[in-house]
Amino acid sequence: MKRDRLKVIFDILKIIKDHNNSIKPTPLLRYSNLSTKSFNEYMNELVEREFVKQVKDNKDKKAITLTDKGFQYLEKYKTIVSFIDDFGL
Amino acid sequence: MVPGLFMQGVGIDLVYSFVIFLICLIVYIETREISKLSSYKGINFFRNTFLFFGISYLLKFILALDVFSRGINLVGDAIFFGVVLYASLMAGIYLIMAIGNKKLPKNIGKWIFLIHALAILFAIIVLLTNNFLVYLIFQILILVVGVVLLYSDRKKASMLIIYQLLLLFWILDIVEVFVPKFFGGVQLIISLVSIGVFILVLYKIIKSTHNKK
Repeated sequence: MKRDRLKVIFDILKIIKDHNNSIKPTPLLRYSNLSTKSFNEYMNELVEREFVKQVKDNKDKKAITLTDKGFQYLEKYKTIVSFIDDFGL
Repeated sequence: MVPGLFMQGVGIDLVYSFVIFLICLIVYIETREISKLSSYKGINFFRNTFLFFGISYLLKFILALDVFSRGINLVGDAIFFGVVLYASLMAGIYLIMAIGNKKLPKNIGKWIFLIHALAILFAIIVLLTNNFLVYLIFQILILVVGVVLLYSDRKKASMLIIYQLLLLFWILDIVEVFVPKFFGGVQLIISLVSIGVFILVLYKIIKSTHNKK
């Protein structure tokens, strides 16, 4: 079944959270089950909307972490989905 | 009409408009967070429905307040009336866009300004020609589109009656704006049922947005 945009965003953010809020782009791409093109589009959107940010980890390698807004999205995801269902949107 | 009874009618309008304006304001505030977080078109359109309903009822409240305080209608000039028509029209259009959001083209966001421009133009034409019937026909057309969209999607079954009532009262309200006291004694009942529908929507929204699943 095709995942909708909201679910894909939730899945990406959840993967980051489940990896102690720090994951490198390559494993994130692998776990997210998206094509490289789609993954890059989603990542650009997530950075632009300030759900995630790119940082340097202990080994000075590029890593992706959630922002407060990203955590907020994870928390509110079920409410958003149920609202869309409840109001037939 | 006996002045006392007329002023009583205006008093009902005052309370009615203010209550609905408040409900719309609460709906707009309540849905802010999920709208910002999701950037979901359907939620944004739904929210804008209540923004424009709110503007429309706020203006109607100001109009009723003016009639109530001065006994004459000074605010009801053409521009004021035009904004009521435009806001009300946009509320109906946004509701249709919210209901049918999955059927809309993905780039609809780019065309929103055009819809606003057409609504403004339409309100101006109605004002200049003083042709209430054209406006009413357009509203009925929107109602029909809404009903078709609602019946074409089973998922909307739970909101079927509420959306239809919202659109119906949306039309009845404008009839009342064009022809004051058109519904006579029935107006109070219409106002009460209309408030009931808005309260029901607000209740469902609060229940949904505060749902801890």
